[in-house]
Amino acid sequence: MAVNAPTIEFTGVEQLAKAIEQHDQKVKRYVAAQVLRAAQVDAPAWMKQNAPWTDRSGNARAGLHAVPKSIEQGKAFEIAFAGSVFYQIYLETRFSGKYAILMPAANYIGKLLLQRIGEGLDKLEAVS
Amino acid sequence: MSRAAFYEALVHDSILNGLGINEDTVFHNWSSEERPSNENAFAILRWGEEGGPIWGSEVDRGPRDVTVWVHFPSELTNDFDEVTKVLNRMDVVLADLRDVSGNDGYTLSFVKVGGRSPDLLDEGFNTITRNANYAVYSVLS
Repeated sequence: MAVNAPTIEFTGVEQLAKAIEQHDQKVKRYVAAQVLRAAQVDAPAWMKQNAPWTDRSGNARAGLHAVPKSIEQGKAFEIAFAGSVFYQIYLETRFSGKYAILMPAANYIGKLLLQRIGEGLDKLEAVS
Repeated sequence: MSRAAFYEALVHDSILNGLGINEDTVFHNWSSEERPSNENAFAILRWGEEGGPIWGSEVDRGPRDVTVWVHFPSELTNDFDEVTKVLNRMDVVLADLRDVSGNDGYTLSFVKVGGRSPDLLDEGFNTITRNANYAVYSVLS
């Protein structure tokens, strides 16, 4: 090998790996926060406001809720949308979904989450 | 939101016509609690939310969700494969659409195929049914 051959020295690999790891943690925390917010705040509010039926007892509307879940310590997140009255299944499936609210909510909240996560990641990139 | 292009694609496909899907059996947002057809399969299109751009790169707006419910009257069949056959063909027809102008002033850019429901009984219409989700991207013509 020639003694004076041009070389590239790449230093700081450990710091880079650490920074990437920290960035991953930040992203994970940010996504978790958004999932929690969507499930506990946005989803119940949206469902209660948009449920298409006319209330009688009000129980069906009041019982609409969403439950967030972290899978394998944040490798994935899940939100389950549910109602608490026994006849919720009929509201969802009768008359071709005329009174459905859970699937429309899943579609709406899914898009909202993607939008927020997209915007949030841009900001994280900017400050990292 | 391209209702027209979406609808036209479904009702003018010869294979879907052979499965009973045509102008007389596809309905937008059917609101009556009476079954629209007693002798054939039928489909109801539920037009859902139209969000803002998701990644900020879309030309106009975000996609509009549409849920297509395909029904067979329970007196005719209890075979969910019949329902699935219709949904399979709808996926092919809709996924093939590119930049199709509709007579409602919108051009359908493309359709993204989404998930499907399990086998369901619609006890209101007394039908067997499944539904499929699609995201419809469109722009003003």
